[in-house]
Amino acid sequence: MSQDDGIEDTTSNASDDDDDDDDGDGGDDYDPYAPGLSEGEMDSQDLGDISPTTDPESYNYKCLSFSDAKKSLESDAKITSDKLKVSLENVQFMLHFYFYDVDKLEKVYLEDSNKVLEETNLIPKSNAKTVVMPDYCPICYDQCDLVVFNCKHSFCLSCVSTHIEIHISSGNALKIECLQCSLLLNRHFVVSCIKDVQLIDKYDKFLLKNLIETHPLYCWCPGPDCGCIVKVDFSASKPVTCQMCSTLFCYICKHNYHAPSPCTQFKNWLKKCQDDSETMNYICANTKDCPQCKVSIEKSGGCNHMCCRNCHWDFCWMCLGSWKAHATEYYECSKYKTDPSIGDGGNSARESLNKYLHYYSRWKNHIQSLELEEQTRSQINEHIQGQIKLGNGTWIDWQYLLDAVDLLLKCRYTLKFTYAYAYYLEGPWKEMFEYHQAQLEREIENLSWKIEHSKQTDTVGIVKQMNITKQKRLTLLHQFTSEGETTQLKVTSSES
Amino acid sequence: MAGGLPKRILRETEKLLSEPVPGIDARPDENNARYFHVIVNGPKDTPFESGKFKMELFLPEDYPMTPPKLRFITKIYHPNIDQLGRICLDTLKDKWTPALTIRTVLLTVQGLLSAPNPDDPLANDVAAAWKANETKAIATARQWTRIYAQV
Ligand SMILES: [Zn+2]
Ligand SMILES: [Zn+2]
Ligand SMILES: [Zn+2]
Ligand SMILES: [Zn+2]
Repeated sequence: MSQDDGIEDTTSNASDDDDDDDDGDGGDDYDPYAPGLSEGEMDSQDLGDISPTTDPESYNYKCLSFSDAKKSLESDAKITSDKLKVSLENVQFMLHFYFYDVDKLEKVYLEDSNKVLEETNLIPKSNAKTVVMPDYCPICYDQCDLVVFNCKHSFCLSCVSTHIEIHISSGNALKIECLQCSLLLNRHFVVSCIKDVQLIDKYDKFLLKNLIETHPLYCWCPGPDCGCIVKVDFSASKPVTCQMCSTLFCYICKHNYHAPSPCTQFKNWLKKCQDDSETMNYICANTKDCPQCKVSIEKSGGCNHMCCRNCHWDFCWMCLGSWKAHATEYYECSKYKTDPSIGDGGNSARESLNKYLHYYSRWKNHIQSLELEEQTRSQINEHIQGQIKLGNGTWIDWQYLLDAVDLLLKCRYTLKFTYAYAYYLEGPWKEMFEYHQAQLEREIENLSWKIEHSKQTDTVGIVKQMNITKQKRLTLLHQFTSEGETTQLKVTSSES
Repeated sequence: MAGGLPKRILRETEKLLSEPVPGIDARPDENNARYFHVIVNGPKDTPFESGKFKMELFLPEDYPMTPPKLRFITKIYHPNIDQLGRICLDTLKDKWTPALTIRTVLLTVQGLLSAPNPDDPLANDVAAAWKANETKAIATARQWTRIYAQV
């Protein structure tokens, strides 16, 4: 019961606006999905965009402690238990066997309770051969007192205990069977066979673990050494931020949250990046030559709008093109163009490598920008602390700047994943997507530029830029993370 | 753990030696009573006929709570046996119960030689070949038996 303390049962909404971070310390740890940024609320009429009415990332979940999760699972099963007049333990097992399809279980059970009990191995098979009671234990061949199970198989207590211990040690508590057939041994019996209190504790932990691992509405937080259990209302590829360890993950695949990319696609992308990582390393270089004067330039901030210190040429870090063109046609940078010099069906291997390079370099580049912007965040934090000490405004006056960096990080985070998504897109849908992606990208770079040069920029300008950027991100997610996808994933997850 | 051989293993060994499984020779190693040298005769009317297949069988510390470890030493062309001689047999994994014995395991192995199951493969390339062209696969298996399975 040592795991029970410390975790509060608090309800969280991933996109809820309940900013309580007003204690003035500002905090250094950053979480792109921590509650605090209000979205979908601001006035966007003047932006000329479709304003999403619902937040596509809204997701209700609870973070539960071990004992709370146990209670929660039991109260889920209680209704069925009362209805079918079956013990809570057996209902939990039957639900597990029926993939938590409560309706189906109740229907089938009310039609033929014996059939269900038999197929779930809670009672012996009716067609089982009659068993002759041996005069010795069939496992160790010792002549001694035997324990008789409901299936009439019998063994010495020592063999039964060893059998149970081996299963528990290997992490199986849910399906400990008779030593000779598939009849399940229930908790009451199992516990009566174990002397070791610690082993009973272990058994109960595994029992819950086994149940949670197969339950479509519960999961373990994938954060390292985090024992937190997350309960959701419905299973979907949506963002969850663990309230214990702040890990942000996708509920379905437990990877880093990856919208707008769907789970399987994102997994493929990760695998592809891993396989090709070495050839791609040179792209991640932190220094590039100025396309105009060829002076080596190191990237220090996250903004991709570069200005050469030597010749003052404004260029784009990603495509090395003139930044001036980007102000109107940023579109051209994020969009992958097939090289017209390569004929149709000509050098397709080179073409596919080029295509991958295009998306990978941008993916990698935004990862880099994210890291740099996280540094920017702490620098800004320090700057603000300094200003406040000098009597230059209060915390409240400066809060907007931290909000701006947080928003920037959140948007950049999404932008990064849009490149994994776009890589797999085809046809007119792709053009649509890349249009929105380019819009978002441009606004993010504008915001990044404004924040990095914040000492000269006005509050109003940043706040305005924040609203525009927020809206672009929401619009993109709204249009490209369909509910259809979510439903499909839900079905797949409960079948596996 | 000198002399600590469980009664169960002693009895099983005795019985294996006094009433051997037809077509299978299994005897414990002189120095290790948990290690068995096994020779399985290829069953009649199979591509393994007239072959003698060497195997090793080991009874782990937890036996019979955990299944015996079993492996073909002789090379064999079979969809459920991989290059290292490991066998895909549910009896040796999740279908194991402590009530099963060395004898039942050996009988199951014999059964697997009589009825290869390419739908539940361990050696994927062999299984694919088996499914694509059974006649050819059987010919290959026969050839391997002739080349490798002669003690
Ligand atoms: Zn016994
Ligand atoms: Zn039984
Ligand atoms: Zn966690
Ligand atoms: Zn996912």
